[in-house]
Amino acid sequence: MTLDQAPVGAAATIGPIDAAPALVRRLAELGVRPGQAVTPLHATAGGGRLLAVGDTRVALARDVLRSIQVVAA
Amino acid sequence: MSEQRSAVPSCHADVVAVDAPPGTPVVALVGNPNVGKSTLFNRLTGSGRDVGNWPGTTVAVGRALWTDEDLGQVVLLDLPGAVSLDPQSPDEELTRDLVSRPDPRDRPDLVVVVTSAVHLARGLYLLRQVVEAEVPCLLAITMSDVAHRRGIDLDVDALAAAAGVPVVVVDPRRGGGSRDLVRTVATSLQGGLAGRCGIDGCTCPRGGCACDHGDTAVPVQAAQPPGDDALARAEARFDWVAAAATAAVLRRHDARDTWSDRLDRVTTAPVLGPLVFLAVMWVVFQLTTTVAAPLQGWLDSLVTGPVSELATRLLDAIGLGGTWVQGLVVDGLIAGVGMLLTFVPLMAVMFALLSLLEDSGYLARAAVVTDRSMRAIGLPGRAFLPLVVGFGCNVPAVSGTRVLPDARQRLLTVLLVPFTSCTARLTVYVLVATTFFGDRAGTVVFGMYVVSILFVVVVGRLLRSTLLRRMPDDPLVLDLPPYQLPMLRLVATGTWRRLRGFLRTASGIIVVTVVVVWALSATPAPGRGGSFGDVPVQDSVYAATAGAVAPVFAPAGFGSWESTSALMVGFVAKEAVISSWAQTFATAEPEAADVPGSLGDALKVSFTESSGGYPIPAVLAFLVFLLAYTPCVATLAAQRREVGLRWTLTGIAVQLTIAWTVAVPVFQVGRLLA
Repeated sequence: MTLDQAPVGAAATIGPIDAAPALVRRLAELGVRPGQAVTPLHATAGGGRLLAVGDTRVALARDVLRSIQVVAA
Repeated sequence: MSEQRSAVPSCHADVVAVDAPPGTPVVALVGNPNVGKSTLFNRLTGSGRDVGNWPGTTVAVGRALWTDEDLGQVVLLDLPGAVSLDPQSPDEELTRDLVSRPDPRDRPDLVVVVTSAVHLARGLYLLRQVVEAEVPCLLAITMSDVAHRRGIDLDVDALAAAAGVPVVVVDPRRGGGSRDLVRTVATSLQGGLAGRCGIDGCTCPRGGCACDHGDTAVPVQAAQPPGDDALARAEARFDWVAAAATAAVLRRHDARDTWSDRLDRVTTAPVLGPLVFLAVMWVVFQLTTTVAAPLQGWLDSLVTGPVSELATRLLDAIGLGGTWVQGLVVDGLIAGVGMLLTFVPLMAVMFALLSLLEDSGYLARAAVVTDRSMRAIGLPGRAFLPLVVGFGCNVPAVSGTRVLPDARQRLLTVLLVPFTSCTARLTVYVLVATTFFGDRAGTVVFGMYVVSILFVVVVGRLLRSTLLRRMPDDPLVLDLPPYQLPMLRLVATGTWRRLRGFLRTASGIIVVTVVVVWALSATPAPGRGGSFGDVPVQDSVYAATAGAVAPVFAPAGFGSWESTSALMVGFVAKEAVISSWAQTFATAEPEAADVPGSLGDALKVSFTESSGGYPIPAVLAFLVFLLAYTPCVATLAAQRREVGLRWTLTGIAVQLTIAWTVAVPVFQVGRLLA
């Protein structure tokens, strides 16, 4: 399952990320990296989602969400 | 402290653009975006800052002399916000470069890493990279009140012990913690605290790390290729960050549905979000046009009325009335200063709105909502704001591009703003459309706005595939800071600071251009009668120049000296186009743009003549040219401030080329169809 399909409101653990290394690193710097738990909060205008990453909130575009594998936490 | 400075010579010559004695210590603020770094900078330095582009870049860096009795004098730098020292934008690259220069003596004497308590882990990651760059540093933590409300408290002593650097809690919005920070910075600069880099128990002296870190120390001076090695190094940093954060964070309860989250469910939602955004943009547009307009009008009438009359009377009294000196003072200097002054209310409103939107945290939400539509021209959502404002006035719109975090995006937006049709151009559209199209004038004016949007989209794509080919198309990955109630005092000081910067940069360009245009109009052309300051405009050097340029516009159907002269004046300000026509046709200026009167008749004759009997295609071509070419000298001044002279000149070339290239086929095709 990718992050765009993960149920809203439930924590999910990040798995492999299939994206350019620079994007993978930027995501990691924002707390979205393998092994970490994130919670999709709701869909945003433009097709993306808002995620709770620890105490912070990160908005990701749909294409980015699709590149992130997750499993239910 | 000065003795100590001389013992450690500094090569900060290019860093110190403020008026500071040689050897003054340099302290740099570094932090993630939206953590209150610039607010802290303003709090510490008061109003004495200088924000300008770093030499050779279009990246803005705040510089100020920070004077305090406990500290002495320090040059404080506000470096661009950076998520990490692995740069992904020119702004982050500059921060990385300035923090980790090859020669340690060129680096700041101290780096204050600013982080919010809500984003502690992220700030610690950046701190770790600064430590690895072997620069003495300390950690300043903001937003501890927001974190407290979310159930997070910090054990500062535990954090300092775990991170190996001094830690200070500050509240730049209200001033809390400033004394602690001053004392800690002073002690650190004296070599007492900073420099203990926290790696393997290292206790390096200030001015460079002398010990052997073994494999754990990773210098970051050279750009790291984003490969597996870099990711592995990042992973090691995350472990360090997690250990430090675990030691420091005291969590009372989990932050569940905060009011910021509840607000986000509306402001970023698929349907409601865009509606809220449009409402906010409507308010911004209204305030920058309708609210500022009466103030502009009042200032304009003050300058052209009482001030000019007073100057004339004074010159009369000293026997200079009616001479060229009166022309220079009244029509040159006072007119130029008056033009500058009329922008003051507009810019103040714009800067206040920018501060409000940034300070509250809404701007990041607007970026999410508009991201997808703006990507059509290769810009992120935030670019929507300056482009919308551009339809009111291009000058504040250019300054508004500062909401964009990436220098390349700022540059593209600055180059696109002139294609948004400002209200000054609207007056000319209405006059010309009413004269030539009668009842269909409204449709023509509406069409001009459609053409304006098309210009923005097409030129945006064109620039991205030519001059700005290297601009990456990164997908939306955006941290949303918690909402905060804007503070009036912060908005007011921020507005004043930006306004002062604008006036400082723009005043010279605007006044000089107005004076030059006056001088050309006051100088008789060779072979014509009259004397300097006493010559009809059609006999002036200005008219001769317009006549020489006019043939360039012949293929577009408006190659008359009268139209060319109006376009030349329009380069200074579009408001002046109508008065220029009135002057050259020697008719009274119409009281309202939709009642052209005798000026309308003169225009019909002029365009019919210059187009060889096809006035309608010629007028359409003229309107398109008027829309697309350089908006006004004040916009150029604002552009120069944001992106420098070279790109401003490039922008003029792009605008003139596109305006002419589109106007000619409009006339030629229109003539064939007529």
